[in-house]
Amino acid sequence: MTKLTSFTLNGEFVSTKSALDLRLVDVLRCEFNLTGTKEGCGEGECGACMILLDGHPALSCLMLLGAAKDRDILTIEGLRATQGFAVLSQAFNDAGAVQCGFCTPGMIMTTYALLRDNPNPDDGAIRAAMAGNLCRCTGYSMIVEAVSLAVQRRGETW
Amino acid sequence: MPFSKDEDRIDTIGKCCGTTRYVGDLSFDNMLEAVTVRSTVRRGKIKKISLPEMPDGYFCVDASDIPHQNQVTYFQDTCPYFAESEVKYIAQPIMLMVGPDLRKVRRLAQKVQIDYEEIPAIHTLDEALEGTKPPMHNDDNVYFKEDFSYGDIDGAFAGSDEIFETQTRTGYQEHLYLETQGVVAVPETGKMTVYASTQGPHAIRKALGGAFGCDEEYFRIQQMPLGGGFGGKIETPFFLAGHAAFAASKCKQPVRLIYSREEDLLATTKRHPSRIVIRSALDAKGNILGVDIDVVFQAGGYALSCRMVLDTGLKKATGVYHFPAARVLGRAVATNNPMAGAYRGFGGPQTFFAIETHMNALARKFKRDPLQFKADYFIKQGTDTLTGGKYHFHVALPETIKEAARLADYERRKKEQVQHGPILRGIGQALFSFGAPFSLGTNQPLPNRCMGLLKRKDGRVEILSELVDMGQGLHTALRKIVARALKIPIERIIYKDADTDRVPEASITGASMSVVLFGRVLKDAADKLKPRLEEPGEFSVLEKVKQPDHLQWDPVKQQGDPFHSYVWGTVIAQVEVNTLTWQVAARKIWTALDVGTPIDRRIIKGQIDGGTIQGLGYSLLESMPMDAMPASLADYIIPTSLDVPPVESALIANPYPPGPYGAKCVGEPPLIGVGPAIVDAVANACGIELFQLPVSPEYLMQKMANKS
Amino acid sequence: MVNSHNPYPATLREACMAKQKGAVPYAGGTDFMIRHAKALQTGQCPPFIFLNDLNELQGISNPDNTVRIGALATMAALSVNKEIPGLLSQACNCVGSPALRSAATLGGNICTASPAGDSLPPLYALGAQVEICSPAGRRLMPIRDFISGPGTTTLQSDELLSAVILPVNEFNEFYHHKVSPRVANAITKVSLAVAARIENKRIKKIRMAFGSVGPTIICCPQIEAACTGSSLSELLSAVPELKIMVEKTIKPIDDHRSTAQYRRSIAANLLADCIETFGNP
Ligand SMILES: Cc1cc2nc3c(=O)[nH]c(=O)nc-3n(C[C@H](O)[C@H](O)[C@H](O)COP(=O)(O)OP(=O)(O)OC[C@H]3O[C@@H](n4cnc5c(N)ncnc54)[C@H](O)[C@@H]3O)c2cc1C
Ligand code: FES
Ligand code: FES
Repeated sequence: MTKLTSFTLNGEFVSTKSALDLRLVDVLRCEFNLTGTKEGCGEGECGACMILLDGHPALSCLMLLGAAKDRDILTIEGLRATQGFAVLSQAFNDAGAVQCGFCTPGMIMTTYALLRDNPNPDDGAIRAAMAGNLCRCTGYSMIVEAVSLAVQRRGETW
Repeated sequence: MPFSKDEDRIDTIGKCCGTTRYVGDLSFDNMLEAVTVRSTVRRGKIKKISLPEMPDGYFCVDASDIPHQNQVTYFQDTCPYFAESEVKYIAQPIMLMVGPDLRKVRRLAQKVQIDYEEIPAIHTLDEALEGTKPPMHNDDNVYFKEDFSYGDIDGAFAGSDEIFETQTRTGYQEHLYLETQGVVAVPETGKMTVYASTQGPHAIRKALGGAFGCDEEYFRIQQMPLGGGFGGKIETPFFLAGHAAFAASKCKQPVRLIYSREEDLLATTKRHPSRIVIRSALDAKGNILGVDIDVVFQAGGYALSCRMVLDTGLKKATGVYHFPAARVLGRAVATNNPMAGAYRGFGGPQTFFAIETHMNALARKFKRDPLQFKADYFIKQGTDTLTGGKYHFHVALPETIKEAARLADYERRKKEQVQHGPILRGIGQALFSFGAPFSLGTNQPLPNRCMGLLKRKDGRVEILSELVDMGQGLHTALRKIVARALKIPIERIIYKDADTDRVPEASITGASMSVVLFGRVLKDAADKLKPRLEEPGEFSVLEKVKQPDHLQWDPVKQQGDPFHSYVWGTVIAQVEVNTLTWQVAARKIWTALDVGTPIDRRIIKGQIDGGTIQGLGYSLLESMPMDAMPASLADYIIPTSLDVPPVESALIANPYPPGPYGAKCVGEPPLIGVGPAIVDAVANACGIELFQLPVSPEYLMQKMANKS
Repeated sequence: MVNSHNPYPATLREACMAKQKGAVPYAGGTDFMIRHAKALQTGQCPPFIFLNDLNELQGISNPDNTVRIGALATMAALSVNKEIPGLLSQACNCVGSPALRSAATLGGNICTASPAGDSLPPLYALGAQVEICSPAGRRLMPIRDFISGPGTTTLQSDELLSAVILPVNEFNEFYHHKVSPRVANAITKVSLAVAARIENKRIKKIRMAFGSVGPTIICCPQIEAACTGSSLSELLSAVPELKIMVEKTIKPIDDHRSTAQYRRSIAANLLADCIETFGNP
């Protein structure tokens, strides 16, 4: 008996026959070829696998496929069509917030949700929101700057 | 300023979009997954290996599948790809399980039963030197030993009124690049391509040639974008590339080998732990007559590049000082621990921590202003190096001190009250230099090492170089240099990730030599290409890698100029110590750095910020107890966005004539001074001396208990 | 994995039956995924049931001068909900990282029964009761009796934790401090939660619980008794004795995260800090 797991993925309704006990991150990367979601640790510590689950940042390595049933999932591939992404990625570029880039998609997922929920986060709020996204290259300050820059430029984006 | 504009990095947008493909994102038809079977004991003889029943299409790959020799030929010392008869550290690779379904492969790997005859293991560098356990290497466990001296050091001690001694210790540091190690090996007709997250594509190709006993041209190494390196993707990738290639060659199918974070923590190289004793001979007035430095670096089960790391660490051991006499002795010792290897700073963070902590403690002992106290011994232009060479160019150390002190308002803050309720506040400083690149031979061209420019039909110019952009912005920096030399827009300069079939061998990317040395090579190539730029067709200009003319170095006697150029710097750190919990929080860090001519200030800021925070982790958080190696990021703690203070930095313009447009390097230096500056700040806040990194709350509490 | 049962039980009864047959409950999954990581890697995970569809485990309400928190309430929800006593909100807000908190549930934190579980000291201090349900019905018990050891509870094989019940207005002063190796996203080395009723600068009632300094959460009935009835100024001068009492009460160990000596000393410092905070508001 194969069960279908259905959910919304980047705005589309999808179903998969895969086993419920696969990690969501593996299903996204291997089955749906959405390799923008990275695995940095597989234990919920680094945030490289960040997705939005019903709009909220969630760790896709710390979640079974079965738990995605009927949920709404957005990955970087879905986010990159948005205006918000355009503002954020330009700000990441301008602030020099991207070095090796392995943390970047996760950082963008997290900060996108932050800017949606908080129109004007200060330095402390930005850092608090990012506390689950490790970056080994930048020392964070240039990422915080990028997010502040996006706040200034956001206009009516979110 | 020749480079007034910061250039956008072409890699940024793909990284933001998630379209940049790292090695783990690759997939091929019929690809097999590989899992490494590892030792579970620290030291022992392998008695027996029992394999599970292997289903169809699943393979086990071990030393017997290596076509020629089970030795990573890149290294001078023994270093097998797979353990055969004995294991020397926990998580040493013994074999690979390979097959189409990763879960099944893991299950098979789990079922391999290995019986060992355990041998008492050497846990620490102290045990290695005590000799109470059966030695691992020769009789004395010393992989490599070296010493340098100048002046009459014995006379200095004989004539001294007092001897001041400090012993500093530092632990392992894991690189913790966010992307774990990985390769994919793909057999093709008459060829094998290895896609790798590596800092040294050509070095891997050579090593594979050695292991397979075939022409290295059989292999093509395609370097994939690195999710961080920091020196950690120099040595370990040799093993992965070998393992995957042996498997691919046996199975005749593509093989993907990606480490889990647990494997990466347990099995890859780390920064060498150290124990450094410094003794100063002092006269009655507290002047230093001579300094005797005994450096021990803890290497792991195999030596890897401990010679080079120790060697460069030793050549920096006297810090930014020239004492009347000095002796430096260094040993790298064998222990049954994970292998230590290259890491941002390359021996410097340990030796600078030792010398700066020693000097700061001496200044406190004599109640002298530390910067004034240290100034008596500063290196200046024309001063001799430890190895009898010269500091040929202007030493901008005093300018960095002045600038850092100005930024930090150091003189005022130093006098501020320490106690604020339960918080003790302190400020500290450290001075450092960073010599790079290390000298290799005399100033002859290095054989068979070159870089070049390919003028393409479409008028664009491609940089032919194996140097790797691991996030540090190297491609952009080198493109800027070439664009400037050719006087064409940077958009016309192309730089692709290295493919050993297309680009010549130059060097592993590391030791901060990419801009200062190879940037110069590319500039020279560009100067040659410039007059021919309008010629039709496609052609290339190759330039041999050559050391600068001023350099005098005798590699046999180890005498002369040990490094091409020196970056000078000052770090000031302000910390707060919470007396309730003995937690230390860095409040702000200021750095002034002489990087020669800055090529791109935004990229340099990225290196300063990132290096400083990696240094902060090393100073306060990151620890790997030898008996409880962390297997998880829950236990190996690196700074989060909430743990880091703002970093304010300034650059001192001190162009280095042989560098491209006067540029030096910036990758490694920012990390070097952070440890001693933090320790100085904590010492000033608490009124005690500290000699260990990291400054954990447990260590600080114990020190404070001893004080009262 | 062979799930002979429906992994998405629609009723509590169905869920309890499945659990009795060996299915492991999955709430936010954050502990589940770590505990079964090796098994998941090799495809040998035990069967599981997702609790998410069970309405009985959701929601926060206020029956009879209490707060009833459904077992599936997340750390993120508890951090911001105004109905929740601040002591508990504050502790929940210290759990992991933001994304972790939006998955991690209170029920999961309790059933994991780790001495480092951050919701536990406040729940002990506030005198929480847990509501347990089974096909036979529901029962209530104090959380201190529910957690029986490190990683163990008195939950029977056919039972689920359905809710946590907190009395309200019993206390008017609170103290919470979590000490961990870094500022964010880190496991507790030592923590203290204190709830007190202070009237006219006198302790009418006080309850305290330490985390990560013993096999389970450590309660301190003797210290509580010593404090009750004292004026704040008396307490302030008794700090040295109270610190010694703390050091005797707790049972810390050396492990790879810290030392017993550190935990002992810091736990005592935290109580001193609490008394100073109460005494000098
Ligand atoms: C990266 C990371 C950081 C963390 N940081 C912290 C931290 O700072 N502080 C902290 O306290 N914890 C921390 N944790 C642990 C964990 O997140 C918490 O314990 C969390 O509250 C568990 O909730 P959950 O819903 O995810 O539990 P689950 O994983 O779903 O369940 C945990 C256990 O409880 C059982 N269970 C769950 N709900 C019920 C129920 N209603 N009835 C019966 N049994 C049930 C499950 O079967 C399972 O055995 C961390 C974990 C990770 C991975
Ligand atoms: S990969 Fe999911 S948190 Fe690191
Ligand atoms: S840019 Fe490399 S980890 Fe963040």
